[in-house]
Amino acid sequence: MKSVTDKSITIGLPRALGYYEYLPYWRVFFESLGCAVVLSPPTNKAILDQGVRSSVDEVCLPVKIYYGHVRALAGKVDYVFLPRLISVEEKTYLCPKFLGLPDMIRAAAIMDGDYPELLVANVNSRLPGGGWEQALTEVALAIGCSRSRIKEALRWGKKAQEEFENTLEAGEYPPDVLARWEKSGRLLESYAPREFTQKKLRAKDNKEPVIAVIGHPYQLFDPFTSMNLMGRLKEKGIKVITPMAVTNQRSQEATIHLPKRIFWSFGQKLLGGSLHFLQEKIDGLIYVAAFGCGPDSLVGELVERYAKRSGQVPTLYLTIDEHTGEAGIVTRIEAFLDLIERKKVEIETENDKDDNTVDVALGS
Amino acid sequence: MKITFPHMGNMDIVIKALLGELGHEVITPPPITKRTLSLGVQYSPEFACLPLKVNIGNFIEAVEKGADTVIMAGGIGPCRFGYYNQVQREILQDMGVNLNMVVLEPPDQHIGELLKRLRIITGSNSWWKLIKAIRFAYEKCLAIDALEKEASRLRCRELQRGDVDRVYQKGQKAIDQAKTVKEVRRCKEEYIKAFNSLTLDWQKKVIKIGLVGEIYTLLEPTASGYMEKHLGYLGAEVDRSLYLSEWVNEHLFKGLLPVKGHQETRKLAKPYLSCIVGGHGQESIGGAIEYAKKGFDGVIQVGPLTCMPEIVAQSIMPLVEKEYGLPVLTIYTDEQTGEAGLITRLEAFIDMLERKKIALGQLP
Repeated sequence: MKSVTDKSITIGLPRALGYYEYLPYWRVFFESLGCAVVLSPPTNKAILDQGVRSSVDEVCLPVKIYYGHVRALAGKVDYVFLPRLISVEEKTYLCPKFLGLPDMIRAAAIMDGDYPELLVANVNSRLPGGGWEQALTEVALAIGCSRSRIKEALRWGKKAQEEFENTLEAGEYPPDVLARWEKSGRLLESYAPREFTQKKLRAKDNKEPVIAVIGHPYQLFDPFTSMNLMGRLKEKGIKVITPMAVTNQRSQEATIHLPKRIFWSFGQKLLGGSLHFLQEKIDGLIYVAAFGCGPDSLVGELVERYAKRSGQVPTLYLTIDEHTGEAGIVTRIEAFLDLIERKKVEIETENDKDDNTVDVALGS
Repeated sequence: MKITFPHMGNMDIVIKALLGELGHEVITPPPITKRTLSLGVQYSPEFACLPLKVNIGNFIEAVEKGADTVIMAGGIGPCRFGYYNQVQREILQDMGVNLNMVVLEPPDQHIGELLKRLRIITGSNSWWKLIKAIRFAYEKCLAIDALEKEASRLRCRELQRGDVDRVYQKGQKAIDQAKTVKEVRRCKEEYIKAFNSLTLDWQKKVIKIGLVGEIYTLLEPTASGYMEKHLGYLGAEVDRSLYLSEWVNEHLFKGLLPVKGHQETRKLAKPYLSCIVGGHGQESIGGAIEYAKKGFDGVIQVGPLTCMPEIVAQSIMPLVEKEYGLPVLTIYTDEQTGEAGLITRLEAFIDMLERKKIALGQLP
């Protein structure tokens, strides 16, 4: 195995799945260890085709794409970092496909060949001391780093991740925040403590519609797999909010009345985020599910049912896989936006009518 | 309190015994028919896996017969099944169906938790009576599993089609009606003997097929399109990797009884799938390896469409196939699965196995 003492090591990070939540942590950690970090290219047709070829038909699109991203790093890096995300919070799990992902990729690598070498470590917060620190330490020891160096790198990594999460929770648009971490050398910039103020969901007297888009970050923020949904909404002048801007505490509070907690941490984030938004003033809710996603099939159903019961917020449920046509998605989004617009007009005219009746009553 | 429960293979006989012994009025849902399935599909989320839909159908039909309480199993992840009951509760609520749900979940820490939950159902019965009732029900479970196992083994050898199933059905009925543990044991022996006194073609060279996969599709014949029966008719001796008695012992009794468990199976799966993925993913991989070692000719993996643990197992299966030279066929079923299409696939698989055996000189 190649180790840090030989020469600078290049670590590859696939631009899929966990990337959208943990990039700052990973990147800063590996760069602090003196490794070079290479990201796979943004998802494109070639990556998708490769992923579809290497995986079984039944897995969801984001996992298929993950195969493609790992393969795209072959020959460019010494190792690909592939954490096994079993649990990132106490007493929760991630979806079974995350649990089996390293084994799935390994099986594909043995069958097909031409895959980069993998650095696998378990992230299991269900065990005492089994979270990210443990996993990253394991990986760094495997490539021959010293413990003291790892400790320092962890400190920097955690700091970066915290800053990243705070920025998201302050309501900044996730791809913008992520973009800052996509270029190397962020580590060298100074960390001036920044004040974060929660952005208002809706500025006063602002008429632009606010739509909550609920979905997994790895699907929403990959323009290729979400058919550029976020971009399209923004183009139409719509303010988009996602569950990434909802703090854990708020999401827990929103689901506290449920008789049983959700044992998927991402599922909790989506359901908690949706229920939180349903209490706020939003004009619409779009749930983006991956075809074949297990948690989405139940969480999405619950979100739809709760939204319907509240009766206030129009919802749109989009299921996307590699066969989804862009035109179809565009049509559905347009129809949905028209609906929201019409509803708004209706409410306004009703308000006007109310005003009129009051006037008449006063006049007579 | 009129108690009902969802169907899963022969589980109705076992639960009826348990609850009847405790002095409850039990309402067995009508057998799963096309109507059950259409009712379930009509009200369930489209992308949920098949068992959830069939469950809903069972509940609706049971309520029509007058049931007001349902008991069912739950879970704590990562498989979707653990959250079924919550989604089903919301579905029934929106439908306006009044059904009280008692969820028996695998105890987190101790068997006492399960007994405590059972206490809601047991009411004023003493612990001693409860234990006796569980023992009686479990005895039925063991007996009926033994008969089912025998039927799957012998079906391919019957000279007159339907002989084995006639005995099996009679045995089912007899066990269902047995009143004491002694009587259950006597029934079991009697019908095992009855199987063996049938005129069977013991000279026939048969194909041996192992079934692995998800528990519901393995146990419930309607969910797998009567796969075991069809395989038997096509001339294959079938062995199944999972029976209800084993599941109950492993998950509800925490392995207290000396019934065959799956520790060894999971150990075999470790080199290929090193962590649990929920459901029976690891057992599917391990089970396939077990069958390969026992010299079976082929393995069929069954699961409901979009089943997450089985998808993980399916992704890794090619590696097992290659290393053990074992042909594996993966079949997913859902409400769209047609029996004729299924038979064609099974037939082709068996043809292939036969031809392989002929080429190896093991069959004339």
